[in-house]
Amino acid sequence: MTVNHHLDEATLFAFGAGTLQFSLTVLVKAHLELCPKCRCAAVAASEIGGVLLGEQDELAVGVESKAAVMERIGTATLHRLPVRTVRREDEMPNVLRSLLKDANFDSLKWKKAGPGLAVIKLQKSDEEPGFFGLLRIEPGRKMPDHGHGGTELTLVLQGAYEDAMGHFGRGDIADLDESDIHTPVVTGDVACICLVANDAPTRFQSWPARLVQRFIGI
Amino acid sequence: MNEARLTNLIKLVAQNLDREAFGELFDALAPRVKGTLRKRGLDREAAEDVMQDVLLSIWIKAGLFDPARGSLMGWVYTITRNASIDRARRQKPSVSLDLIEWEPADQSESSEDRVLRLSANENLKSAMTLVPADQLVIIRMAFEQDLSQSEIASRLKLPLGTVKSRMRLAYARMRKCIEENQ
Ligand SMILES: [Zn+2]
Repeated sequence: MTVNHHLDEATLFAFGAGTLQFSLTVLVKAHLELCPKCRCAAVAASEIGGVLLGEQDELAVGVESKAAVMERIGTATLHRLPVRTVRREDEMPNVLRSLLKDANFDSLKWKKAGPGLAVIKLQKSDEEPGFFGLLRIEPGRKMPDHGHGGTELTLVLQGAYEDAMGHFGRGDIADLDESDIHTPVVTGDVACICLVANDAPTRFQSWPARLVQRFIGI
Repeated sequence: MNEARLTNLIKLVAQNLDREAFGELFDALAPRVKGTLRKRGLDREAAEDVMQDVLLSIWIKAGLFDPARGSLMGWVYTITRNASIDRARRQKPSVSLDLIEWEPADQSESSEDRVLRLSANENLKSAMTLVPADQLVIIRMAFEQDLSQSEIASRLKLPLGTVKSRMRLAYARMRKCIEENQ
């Protein structure tokens, strides 16, 4: 698997600072599991935070606080092995698997949302805006033209699609701005499964949300 | 305390579960971690709580830290950031964001994809002083005050696109500096 479409550096910057909303953070994490290049770039973003941490004002920490931590380390279970990155071609990123509590796309409860389109909505955090979920689009299907209100991330997990920006296969991420409009068409002979999150405010219903609304009336 | 000393301490913690070394790390890191959390908007009590969790995580994950992947301060920052995000989320979907992005690179990766190697972030510190003021203000708003791109845009009365492009510029400068230091 070669990843050709990566995260925008402004998105990596915001991810590094920890200011992306939950759904977008999950998208970034899922891409990082599939993409060594962006993993490396994410470390660079953390280094900025590291420099600022080093310059930070030091606030007094009480002796009882240190004693409490020293006591807790006595019973803590150590992590010795890193979280394994995704290796197999059909594997689901860990971050998504832990959200879905399932490792297999086929056994998920897909909701039909129109001809050739099925959706699974994922739980968002707090009141954050936008759509967050999985889309499964059948081969040859075309999504309607759409723009959206803010940042939108689309990560391909299975199959492929094409739009004006090129060919997107497994691991590729489309990191789109509010001004971008795209018309993805699914290519190849398997359904394309994408993880999608955006931060479109509700007054600009995001396109996946609008589709879902139209077909199943959520 | 310098990066080399800190890195040596974390190694002692990882290899020997050295409590004394950890105590020294605690003294060096805890006050700054707490300062960072306060700046990100946590109240005194929450900052104290989360700081303790962060330090405990450092003990637990010491064996995962790899100095060839990045600096200790960057790693500690990542743990602090994740802990503060988890704390801030009131309605928590059942997933921790603390899946590590510091994992060692795969053997099969091509050389240009290989990990960044930096011995210390000294160069980065000096690079930061060369960042133009309009970018630096955005770095601080995001990394220290935990403001999103759109929050920064509205505070600075700038279009979102301008904020994003300044982030790209600031990020590219830092990245270049890290790569030159490899
Ligand atoms: Zn990437």
